[in-house]
Amino acid sequence: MGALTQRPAGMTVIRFGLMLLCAALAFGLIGLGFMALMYLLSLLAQGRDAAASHGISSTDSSRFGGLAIGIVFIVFIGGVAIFSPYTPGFLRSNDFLYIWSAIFICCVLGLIEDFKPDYLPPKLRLASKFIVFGLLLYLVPALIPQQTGAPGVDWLMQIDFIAWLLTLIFCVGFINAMNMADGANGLVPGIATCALFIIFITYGRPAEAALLFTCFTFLIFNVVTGRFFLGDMGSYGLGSILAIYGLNGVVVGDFSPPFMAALFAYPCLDFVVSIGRRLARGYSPFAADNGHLHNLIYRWLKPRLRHNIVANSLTGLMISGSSAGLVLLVYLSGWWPPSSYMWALVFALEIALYCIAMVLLKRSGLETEYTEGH
Amino acid sequence: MSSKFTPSFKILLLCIVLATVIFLNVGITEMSRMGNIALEGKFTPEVMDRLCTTQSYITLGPAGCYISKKVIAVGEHTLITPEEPYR
Repeated sequence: MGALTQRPAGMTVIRFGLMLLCAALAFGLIGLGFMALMYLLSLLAQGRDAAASHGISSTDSSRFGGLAIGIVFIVFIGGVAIFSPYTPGFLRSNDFLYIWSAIFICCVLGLIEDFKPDYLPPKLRLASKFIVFGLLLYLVPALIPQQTGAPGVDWLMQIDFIAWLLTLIFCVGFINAMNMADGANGLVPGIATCALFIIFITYGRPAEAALLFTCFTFLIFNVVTGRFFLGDMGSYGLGSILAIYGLNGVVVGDFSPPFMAALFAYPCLDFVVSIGRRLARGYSPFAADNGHLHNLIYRWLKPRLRHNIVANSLTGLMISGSSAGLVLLVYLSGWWPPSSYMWALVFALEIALYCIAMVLLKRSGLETEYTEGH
Repeated sequence: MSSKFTPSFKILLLCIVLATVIFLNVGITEMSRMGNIALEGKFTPEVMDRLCTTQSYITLGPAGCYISKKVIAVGEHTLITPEEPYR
């Protein structure tokens, strides 16, 4: 295997120029620098996905998006800590140290998978995430919410062990949901960018600034080229960061549980529906299939648009825009504060949209194919 | 070990490191400059309004300038009252 791949054939001058223009207009020279880093990483022969391995991509792509985000995040936080009076959270408090250690371990698990697919068996990765987050929630019990607004659940959350267990299942499930949704261009990075924008406006710390910059720039590169995915490192890392931010925001009362549910509706809904679908058909919940809503929309769009990357990117942007993008729009309009329970209405609307889209696409004759784990 | 990596791979790695260090260093230096101006000006609204110069817009872009100003404004809290850390 060579160390480098061919220069991406689909990277036309117009698309490349458009991508650089967007990055420069938003983030100036540092945006261009991050684009250069991602382009160079996408040339590496390591960490490549064969065409259609996500059931949606039709060209070879790199899984090092998470690595690019990780490199820039670490360099940025390190640089700000050296050149300014800012002290990173993990040096200031033990809670932050435990939190970022858990995120780091999840990133390493994903990075191993990105370098050598299936090197770690799925059950070992799942068990590792349960152990890491189990320890984190034991060491930082302040992350466990006591009030969710759901009467039955709130009663259960009063029992410490059940509260710990439910929060643990939620965290690991959420990370896997983000990983499962990482297929269409711009889907997970779009959702993460919207979420990080809201989190940055609320808190405004350097870590959120770095994450917002990297996710937004990655989103442009991912949507335009269609050759660079978050990979397991990116989806595990962003999944764990967003799960922890979400829990912390709910605990301190900055965000309501329905707000977080509405913000992350797509990965969570699709995860629950996919597990249910596989179990109902007698397959393992770990089986791969192409029955996700983003797969169905892509398969419906592809023959109509006759351009794979446009169909793929449009799928991701449509879903992230109509879920997290909708929440961001309502949030910016100031309709309800993020601590309001009225966001349950937006969440209900997203569930209805998901169900309607699924039914309509199934009626158009798109069947689900299962590939493993029967 | 070294036989596993071709010369082109090494050049590519060098480019990755250079792209990361040069461009981010430029951005971090600019943010640091903005932070020092805000600190010297005691974070008054007039100083904060004039924080972003042409150099800042070229280096960080409009979105980067907005983000930097917000981070510096939040950071003021920590600098002036160190006993009250970031939330």
